[in-house]
Amino acid sequence: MQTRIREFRTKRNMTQAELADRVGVRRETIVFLEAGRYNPSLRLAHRVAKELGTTIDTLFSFGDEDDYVVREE
Amino acid sequence: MKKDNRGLFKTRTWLVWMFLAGLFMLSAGIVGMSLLSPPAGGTFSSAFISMGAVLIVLSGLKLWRGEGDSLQDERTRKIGAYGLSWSWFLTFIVLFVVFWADYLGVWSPDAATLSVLLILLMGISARAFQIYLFRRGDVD
Repeated sequence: MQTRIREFRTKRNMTQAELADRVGVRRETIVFLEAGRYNPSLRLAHRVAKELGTTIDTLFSFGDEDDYVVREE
Repeated sequence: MKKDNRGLFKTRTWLVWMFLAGLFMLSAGIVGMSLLSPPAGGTFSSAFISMGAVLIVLSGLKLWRGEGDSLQDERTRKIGAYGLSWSWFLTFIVLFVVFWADYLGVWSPDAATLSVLLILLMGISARAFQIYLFRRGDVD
């Protein structure tokens, strides 16, 4: 998983601690989120996206989209 | 909107009470050992000393690391739960091994020894798994 949290956070001159405080998590959680080492719940992803003024799709990406098998009916 | 997710059992006040309770149990066990006659005195005193020591170590470590005022969030709760469940599974395997060791006559621990072994194993393994998962970042 890749994230653009750091990019959006720094654009808003926000520290990790400030973002953590606003979304109600520990600073370590934000650290691991930014590093792509923690998969957040939908609720947390939504909160982070809202605080950073963007969408979940923009903030998070999950590797190669071709990995998904789409069944056509 | 930020919620205060500090669990009751993680607050500093609760940890201080745990530490004091551990001190009380340890002291009571030591006093009981000298005042009560065996075998009852020895059994109860050992139990009190063991439980008191466990409480002191667990709460003392948390207080020393300043964990009394830390926030619980979804990640800490998730990792906490996984650590506990892995510890449970490890203990289950150990019990299985102990059963067969006893059945085959290799090792037949008494109840007190087995109890202490399991208490220490569950407590230490749960914490060890949680530390490992915290450093890794997530459970998968």
